[in-house]
Amino acid sequence: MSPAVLVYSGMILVYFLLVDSFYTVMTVIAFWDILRFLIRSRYVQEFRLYSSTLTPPISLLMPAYNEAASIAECVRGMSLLRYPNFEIIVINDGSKDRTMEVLIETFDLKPVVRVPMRTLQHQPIKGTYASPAYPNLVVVDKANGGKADALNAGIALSRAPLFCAVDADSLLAEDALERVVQPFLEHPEEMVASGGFVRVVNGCTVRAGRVQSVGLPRSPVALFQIVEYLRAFYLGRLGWNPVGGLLIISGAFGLFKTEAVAQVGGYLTGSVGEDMELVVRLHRHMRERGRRYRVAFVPDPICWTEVPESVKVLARQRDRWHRGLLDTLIRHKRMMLNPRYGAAGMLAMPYFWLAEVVGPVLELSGYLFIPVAAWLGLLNWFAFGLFMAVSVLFGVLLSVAAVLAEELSFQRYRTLPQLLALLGIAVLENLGYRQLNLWWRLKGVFSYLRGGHQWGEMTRKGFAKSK
Amino acid sequence: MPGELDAVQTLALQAVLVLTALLAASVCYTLGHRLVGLWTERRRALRRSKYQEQALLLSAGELSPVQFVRGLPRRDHLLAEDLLVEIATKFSGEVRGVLADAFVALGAVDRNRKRTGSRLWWVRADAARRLGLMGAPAVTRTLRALLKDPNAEVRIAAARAMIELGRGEWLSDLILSLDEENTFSALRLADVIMEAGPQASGALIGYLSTGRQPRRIAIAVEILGDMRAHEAEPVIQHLLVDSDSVDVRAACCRALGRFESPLALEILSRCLCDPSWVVRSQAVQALGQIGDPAAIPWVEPLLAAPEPWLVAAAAKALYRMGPLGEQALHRAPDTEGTLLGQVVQEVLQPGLQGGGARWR
Repeated sequence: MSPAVLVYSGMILVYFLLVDSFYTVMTVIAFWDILRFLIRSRYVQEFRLYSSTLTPPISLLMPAYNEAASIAECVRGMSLLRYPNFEIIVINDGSKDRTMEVLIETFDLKPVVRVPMRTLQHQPIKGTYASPAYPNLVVVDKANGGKADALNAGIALSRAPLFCAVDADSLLAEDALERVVQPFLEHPEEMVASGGFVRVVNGCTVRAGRVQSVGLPRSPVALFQIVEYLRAFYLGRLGWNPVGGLLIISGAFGLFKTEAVAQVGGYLTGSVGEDMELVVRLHRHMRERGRRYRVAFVPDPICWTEVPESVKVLARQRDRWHRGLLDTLIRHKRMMLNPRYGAAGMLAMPYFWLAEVVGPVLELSGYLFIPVAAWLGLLNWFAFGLFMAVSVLFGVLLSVAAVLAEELSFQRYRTLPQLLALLGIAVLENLGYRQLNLWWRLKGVFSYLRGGHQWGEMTRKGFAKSK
Repeated sequence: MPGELDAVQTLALQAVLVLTALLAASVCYTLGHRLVGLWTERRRALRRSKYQEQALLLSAGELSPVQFVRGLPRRDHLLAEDLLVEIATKFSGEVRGVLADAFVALGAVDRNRKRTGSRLWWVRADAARRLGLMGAPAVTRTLRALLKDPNAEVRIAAARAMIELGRGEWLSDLILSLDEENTFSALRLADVIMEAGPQASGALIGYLSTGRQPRRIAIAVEILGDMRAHEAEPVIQHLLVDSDSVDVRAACCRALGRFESPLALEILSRCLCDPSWVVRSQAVQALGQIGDPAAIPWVEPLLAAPEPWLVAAAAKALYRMGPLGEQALHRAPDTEGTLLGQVVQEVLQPGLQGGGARWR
């Protein structure tokens, strides 16, 4: 075997060992955390948090861009949340469809004056509206500036010490706010952000803004994403949670301390990965000022979100996510392997660089190397077969572990056929879908390098048609 | 396949075997967990149904504890304990008395007393919860010791158990525990103290002057408000004037509203100019709850406030103040098409869906 091939194989092997060791450790930590959480939630008796005025007020910020299909149902669902003191601020980010008209007609909105409490960068606000029938609803109509820009406008107008960023294509479970706020009650001084579990709503039955029964979608693209979300939240978020290396609070559902976010300047406008960027900036800000702080993930508050069912839309979404990730990693490269930034700098940043940036490039190079090596007669087919088997088996094992975590904890998918389907998807996902994802991530790298900052159009069915 | 494997290939082959075994185990465990879960659930339900009738007869006093225990095989003692604990959570008084004897006969009291010494906090917490429901006065010393347990969950379970046993003399211990570092635990302790009822008010009033943490003081004020403990009104009025904490002031306004005492009108009206909107909003709501028309001159200007919820709260408060308040709403400027106009229209038309009825 030529030295070049040896060096290359060695490089792949080292990468593989490093990343898989990361995954293994995170899986073990995640299972430990689930166990702890389950024991605690089993013995922590219910109490009247939802009726106590001592719980901090929350502003629910819902940026909406071309969400006419689902916005009314989504706002109605949010208004039914069980929490003593919250307001909903819908920010219409210059939608081109009927989003604003739907809001005005459905909630009988009237123009009101609302004075911003803080100055953050955002496009001009055209008007603010309130509804007599929904006293805790405020709608902000502003010029288009992107999701981060819309959230900044919402933060500026918020009067609550905490704000919860929610996507307008998402539904929160009735008790989601009172559960996600729990870390803020436990550590009121230190907590700056907490996030909940985002689940796939496609295939579920939704009535009056509530998920009535949990089901599986018919679309295979959406099915694959169910297991993907389980893996990301059970093994990813829960794995990073206890070590203090949580860099992502999902943009679909995250609770933040308003003043902490205002101090770092709010969301970064023009960014397509604004959720991760904000959390990383909070880590950086707090560490650089030597403040004690916490970022937490709570597994039981649920946000149901509609995922793309077409490959084309999913490809656009993943491309955007990857551009956002790269943008954040490069913007905060100073944190990389810097002990000043604790677990975020020493563990989480290297992990993201390795698994999310270097990984796709190496994996692609592997796929290109195989036919070339085979053609040149340099490929040891047996070794190659073994390597592929280990790689695929490990991937399947991680997905099955996520399904197992779901089975041991919340069991949202109640029937045996649903469980069998999830296990089947966990296996199949590694044979095609994973490779597609790799391709999208690579496209994300290239479009980032070309300077692409577009959000990309997303098409929504609306919850009324879920199932 | 080549004849000889190098070290890396051997390692990879071993990894394939290990991963395959782990994968098979995970899939089997996942499926097994679901199937075994379904099976045990059904089996347990069947076994429980066998004793359910006897347990109900026991609760009704038609079966003596000795007869109940005599009919049980030893292996089902734990199952019977669970069943009786479940019944105990739903009843009090006489039924609890009957069940207490059955728990002793089942050996459940001794068993759970031993469990309070466990190294696992959740076992201690569960034992404390059960002992409280078993109603055995002999366990108060054990429970009192658990009030000083290092784990907050155990302390809360022990506190709840003490309340279940009606041992009010330990309330001051509980109230001092409000100074928990963890606000979430403090809120839950407050929930337990609420269950103690009026016997807790004296100790809570004492805490208002000795407590250190503003949020905990606010919790104590809220409990007093929820209890409608009128004897606390002068202390709460004092706190409302003196406290620097928004939490405390907001809780004081809420409590004074709950007392519905006209004596608080003036002090609440001063809070309508409080720098914090939380306090302003609580104050106007409290004035609405009191419903005294004397507050109209203070509340009416709020109809012009920029904050929609304050306008809504003020309109609601005025409506609650009776005919004079309604007149004030009619006096509102010609506001057709604006939020104020809508709010006034809604408030003055009770019975409409989403209208006046919602505001009461």
